[in-house]
Amino acid sequence: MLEPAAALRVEAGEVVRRAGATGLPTGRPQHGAAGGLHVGRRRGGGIEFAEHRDYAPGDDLRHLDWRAYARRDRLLVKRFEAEVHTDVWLVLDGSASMALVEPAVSGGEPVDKLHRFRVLALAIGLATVAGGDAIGLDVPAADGPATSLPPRGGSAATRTLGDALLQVRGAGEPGLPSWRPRGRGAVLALTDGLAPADAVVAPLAAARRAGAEVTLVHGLHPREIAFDFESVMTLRCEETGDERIFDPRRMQDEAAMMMQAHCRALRFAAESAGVRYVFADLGGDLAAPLRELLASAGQGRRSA
Amino acid sequence: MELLRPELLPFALAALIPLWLHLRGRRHAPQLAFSALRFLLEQDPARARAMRLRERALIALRMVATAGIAVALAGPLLPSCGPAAGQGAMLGDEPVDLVVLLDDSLSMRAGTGGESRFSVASKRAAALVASLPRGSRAAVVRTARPADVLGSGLISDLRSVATELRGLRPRASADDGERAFALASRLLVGSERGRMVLLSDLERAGWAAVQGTAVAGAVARGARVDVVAVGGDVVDTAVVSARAEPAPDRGARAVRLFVTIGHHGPRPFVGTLLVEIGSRAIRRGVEVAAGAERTFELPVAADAPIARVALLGGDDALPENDVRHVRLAGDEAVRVGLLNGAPRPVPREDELFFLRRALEVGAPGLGALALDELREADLTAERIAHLDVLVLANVAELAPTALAALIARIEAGMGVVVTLGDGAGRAAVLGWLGGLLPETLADAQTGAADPGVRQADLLHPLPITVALARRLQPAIPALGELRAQRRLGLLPRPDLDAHVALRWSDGLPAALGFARGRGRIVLWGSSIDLDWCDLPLQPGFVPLAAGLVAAAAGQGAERATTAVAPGEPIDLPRREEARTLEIRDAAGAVVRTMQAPLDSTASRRRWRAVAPDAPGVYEAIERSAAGVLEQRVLVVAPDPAENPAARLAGLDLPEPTATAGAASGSARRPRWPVAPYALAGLLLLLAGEGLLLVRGARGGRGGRGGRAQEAA
Repeated sequence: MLEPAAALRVEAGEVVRRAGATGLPTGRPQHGAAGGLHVGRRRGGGIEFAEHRDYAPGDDLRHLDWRAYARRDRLLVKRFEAEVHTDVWLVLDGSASMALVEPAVSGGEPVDKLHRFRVLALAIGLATVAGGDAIGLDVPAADGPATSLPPRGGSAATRTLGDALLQVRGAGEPGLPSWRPRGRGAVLALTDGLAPADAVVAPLAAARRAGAEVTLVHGLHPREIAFDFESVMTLRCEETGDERIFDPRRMQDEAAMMMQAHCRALRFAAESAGVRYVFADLGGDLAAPLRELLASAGQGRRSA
Repeated sequence: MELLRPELLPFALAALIPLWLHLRGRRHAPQLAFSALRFLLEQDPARARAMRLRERALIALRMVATAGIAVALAGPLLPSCGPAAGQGAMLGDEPVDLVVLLDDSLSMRAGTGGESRFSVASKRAAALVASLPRGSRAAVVRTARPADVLGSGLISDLRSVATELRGLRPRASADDGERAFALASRLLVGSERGRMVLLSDLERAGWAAVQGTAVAGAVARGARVDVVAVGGDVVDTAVVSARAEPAPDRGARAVRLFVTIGHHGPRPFVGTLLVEIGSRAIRRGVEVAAGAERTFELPVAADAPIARVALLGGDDALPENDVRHVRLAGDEAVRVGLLNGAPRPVPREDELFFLRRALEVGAPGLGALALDELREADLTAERIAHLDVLVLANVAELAPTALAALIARIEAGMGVVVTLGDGAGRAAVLGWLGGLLPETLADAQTGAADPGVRQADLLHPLPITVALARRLQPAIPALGELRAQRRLGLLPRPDLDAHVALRWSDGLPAALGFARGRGRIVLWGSSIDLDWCDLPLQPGFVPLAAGLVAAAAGQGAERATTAVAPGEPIDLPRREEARTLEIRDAAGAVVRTMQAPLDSTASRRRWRAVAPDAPGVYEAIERSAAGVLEQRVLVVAPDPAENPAARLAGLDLPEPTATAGAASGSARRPRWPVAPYALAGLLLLLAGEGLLLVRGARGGRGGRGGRAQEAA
């Protein structure tokens, strides 16, 4: 029997393997220390040719393009893109709605919503670190102290990240609306989005305006998608204590449609604010949303 | 609503089961920490409200459905007027002799939904006759005045009876319930399988007066009586009466028009009273409380002989009684002479004191009366020439000249009312009165005290007796407390029994009618002296006095002053040389034509016809071989007894009817069993709900993957 942290690492590693992720690409130039795989915002000492410019006194003569001089009879200096590392911030929703443990289908294995988020988060962390970037964690809380792990690279960082994720307990109101962006790296917000779309997207939009590359990973438990309960249930909201009787024979279709509408609203709000939107069915293979993350990352990035 | 199996009704409490299941389900439903639903419902409050409402509606529907099943199984029976309803139960499978009493009075013209009550009733009657078992016989009695038997009585050709029924139309007169039942009873005399079915709207005016004797008589003869109520209560406003009185204080041609408006309905009537006199029209706003009558007085100028009075506005199921024509000539009041044979100095002891007070209010059908008090010395041909009616109260003897003048005037058309008294005892009856009457009386004997009076006998061969009985009929219910210490029973010869219109309870005649020449003689078999009886103190005295005078006045006086009701007999004097009488309507079309008989004895020199069915103004033109002899205006008004059309609060026919109908409770009120229909409806409801549930369950179970994909 593995320790929880080790089991989590194994599970996340399997997801990374199935997704074939060896780094988390970004879609736009990043700030960061040189030597990474991401395109930097400045021209610099990378190996990827970027452009020519006229020679000016003081330029390094090693960068003179002699062949261009032979063709054009003009001194041109070659410029190269900078290759930088970046910081990736995971922002995990730790509200009470995340604490849902329920079989995906009748008689099936229980699906732990928060655990599935942990696996997905750690898989992202593993992929990020594999690309040489640093991974950090924020678990904002609306009514309590927030958990924060500054970005770090290396395998030790993923271990720390796994431990931190295991410390997250679903409780309280959604904290994402009160989250404030830090730095200008990449931000991946993992949430069930059970808050008004504008409230969820507003802090992410702020981070996007601050120069970060922001992705909203919207994950839902299968029951939250289909509402296919077998019998009449008393559904209690852990955040408010409110209880409602749910008769699936009469209310299932309508509830599922309302959830679809909410997903569309969330996606629209995110994309309107320049935030990428990735949906995750937490009852299915988590490699799928990870692959989508890799595929939907911005064009022009360098492959890891 | 009645139930076939009321013991099953408590099962309606099963309606609580769905509610209990719902509450129990709430309590026992597994709990789950699940925030998504609360969040979604908060996001869309309108939809959340709709879902909650739908859930409650569903529970209510289930409760109603459950209760409905219990009620339906209990077998509710509802009233119906459908032609086939209850026929089998009413008539059975054995041949019967069926008399259909079909109400064809004015109020049967009312209706809702485009079909009149009469149409419903006649169709029902035709279906009833057509469904009779082979070997049955049927007859139809129309109950509107004058009630009559359609065709030749009971016949076995049921198809022709049904055809005749379909061809009938309602008349404009009131019901003649007593006579109708009497005629029906007479048709069923000797029948062992007699049945009567009355199809009527049970209009208050026509049937409240049925006292039960006729029905009881019919039942006593072995006939079973069933009553089928047709139509519901309606809103009706009517001109109940309209009369004109001279108003000399306002000018020579001025008259006061008294219009009484009756209204039956849940709300007060607010409308306009329109009076048209010649080319002039007078409008006046009127308001009549619900269920009330109100008299409006309008001073008008008699620019034309006839005024048309009409009601405008308001809901009205029976517009036929909204219009009435009234003669404006103010000098045609019936003139009544009053003669006391033994006047007394103390007014309250004088017989004429009470009689004058009673007649001052007028008489139904005659309007106002012009009273003229006479002394014995006034009994001369000149002095009584202008009188229409002369009342002789307690006259002990008459001089031969006075008697001769009186007889001459009676034969010329005057009516005489004779009441007895201390002076006018047996000697007077057998003396001067014997000379006055066309037939001599056999004897007069003193009767016992406090006998009370019987019902008037309406089935007489003599018109005067029928008219007298009909006039006295309204007074009889108010004479129940009559105390008569002294009476003088007038005994006509046995062959003159037909003259007795009303009898005391011990069989002695109380009121007799005789015709002499063109006039009438009415005898009241008691005194109006308080020493004889307390008749003047009875509430029935006023209608009794009016009835005696009206019967004596005859149609001649009535024609001069007021309108005749549709279907009423018209009795006009006929000149010796007259050959034909034409009755034309306002458009000039001939409605009736009568030929004078060849053997015109003095007593038969009358035109006797039946008034047209449609109210309005007519002209009666008397012609001789040489040309027009006389033109009279004839006003036919809706029967005031039918105005306004107000239904009996309940089926108030007497107990024998209930007993007769008790053999088949469903026959008295045909009913429609709702159980099969209710069950079918409830099953449909349940099937619909089940379909929705199945559809919802399928939609929910099939689509998680699809939904996830779609949401993504």
